[in-house]
Amino acid sequence: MAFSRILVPVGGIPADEQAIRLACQVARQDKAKITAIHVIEVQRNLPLNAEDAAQMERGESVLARAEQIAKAARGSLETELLQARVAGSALVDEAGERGIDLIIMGIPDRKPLGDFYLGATTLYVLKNAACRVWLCREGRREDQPAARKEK
Amino acid sequence: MKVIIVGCGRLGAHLARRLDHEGHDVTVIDRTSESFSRLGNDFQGKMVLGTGIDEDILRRAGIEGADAFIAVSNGDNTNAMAAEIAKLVFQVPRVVARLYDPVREDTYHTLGLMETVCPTIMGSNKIHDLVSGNGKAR
Amino acid sequence: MYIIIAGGGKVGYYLAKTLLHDEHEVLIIEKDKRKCDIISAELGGIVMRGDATDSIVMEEAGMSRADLAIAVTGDDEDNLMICQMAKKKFGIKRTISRINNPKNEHIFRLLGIDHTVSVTDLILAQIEREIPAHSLVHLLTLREAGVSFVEAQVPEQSPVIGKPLRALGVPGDCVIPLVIRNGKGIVPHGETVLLGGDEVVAVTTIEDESFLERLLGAK
Repeated sequence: MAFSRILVPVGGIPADEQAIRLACQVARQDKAKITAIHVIEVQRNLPLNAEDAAQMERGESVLARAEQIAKAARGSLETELLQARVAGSALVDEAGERGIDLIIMGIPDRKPLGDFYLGATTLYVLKNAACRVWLCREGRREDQPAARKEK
Repeated sequence: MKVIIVGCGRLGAHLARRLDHEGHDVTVIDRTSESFSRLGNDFQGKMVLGTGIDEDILRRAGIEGADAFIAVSNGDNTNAMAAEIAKLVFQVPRVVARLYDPVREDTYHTLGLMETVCPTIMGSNKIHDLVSGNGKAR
Repeated sequence: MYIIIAGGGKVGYYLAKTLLHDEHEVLIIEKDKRKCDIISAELGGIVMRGDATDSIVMEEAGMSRADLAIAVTGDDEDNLMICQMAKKKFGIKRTISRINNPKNEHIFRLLGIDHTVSVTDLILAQIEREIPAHSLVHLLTLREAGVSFVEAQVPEQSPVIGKPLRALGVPGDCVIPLVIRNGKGIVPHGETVLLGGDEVVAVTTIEDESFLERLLGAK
């Protein structure tokens, strides 16, 4: 099947790059449009429209980097900076409103306690998004021990 | 002195036995009957099965005419509510509640309806003093 | 308005849904992970997992900027704690509490919780309306004012039938503003004569209720 609208959530992590490059490949093949979204999660004790300059600056630079990666991969994308209480549900809502048919997310090879787990945002999107979802997990870095415990 | 104790855990049972030995008229309320075994065989006081936030249970425990009311169940919220009922509905002269959460304790202390005891802060202070050498050496 | 709902059971869930529809900012605080997952799948990121009676959770939830706190957990002691902390610690002006045990209603009132909703009482009132056990049905009670709105149907053999209202010896603190006869409302006056089957709506002091019941009811 061909995709027409692709959403790439970007969190400013190394795994974003692979997801954007993959999105560009699919977009070229299917003539699809890509939207990269960065969500700023606003704490409950602040109103939703509270502006945190540092967070917004970081968000803008994450999106600028996404544009550069797309350009290097001979693609292009629209960007959007969102504020929400919870990133997962904001992404699912946005995907529904924009008629997205594929979400591509880069995820880290995360194991803070020596174990791998999916973050809350990724889990929420996997559980609740109506469209297809592809995950790109980053490769294991050499300096990190293997996740599986042997012996 | 006529005393009502809500909660027959370690603290409630210890207090109940102590006050009983001193010759006070003690009634203990707890939701589970097994808890009363902590009181031992020589306990002279009364035991009432039920929750400390039910007026009928409190009446059955003889709250009307009690001199003191002590809420030491394992739930802060139950203790706060039981103590408020004791004070506002039954006008018990001395009311004490145990609250583990320091913020809750501070809030209820400020309300001034009851005496409050926060084991978290007391324990933390004591241990802090012992560790930093301010505690009285034994 | 920013409304915090403590308790994500059925009451909390439907309440949130309705309030969201009215375009309020809503947050549900719920302990149970499964309930949180269901709510966030249905209503989006409007749920926070935690113990709503815990001051740290309240702080994170932004209780101090809330306009209204509604406690609808299944435990009255928790609901009381939430409302009192919201008022005394976080300065929330308005709190509403669900009451599970109807006996707790007057305790909550003594403790200054502005509004309470007792589900058990609501259902009992509904039953009374459908299947009256007494001849007087309570429509509304204004406790502070000491006044009730009651309704009674005049039985076919009632001694009041055929007499004008002014001759019935209705107590001074009791007014009959409405009589419903065959589904039609009549505003009665002293000369109005009651018939069997009439529904009489009366405003009465709580003390005079039993007198009115005897007078009209005679069941």
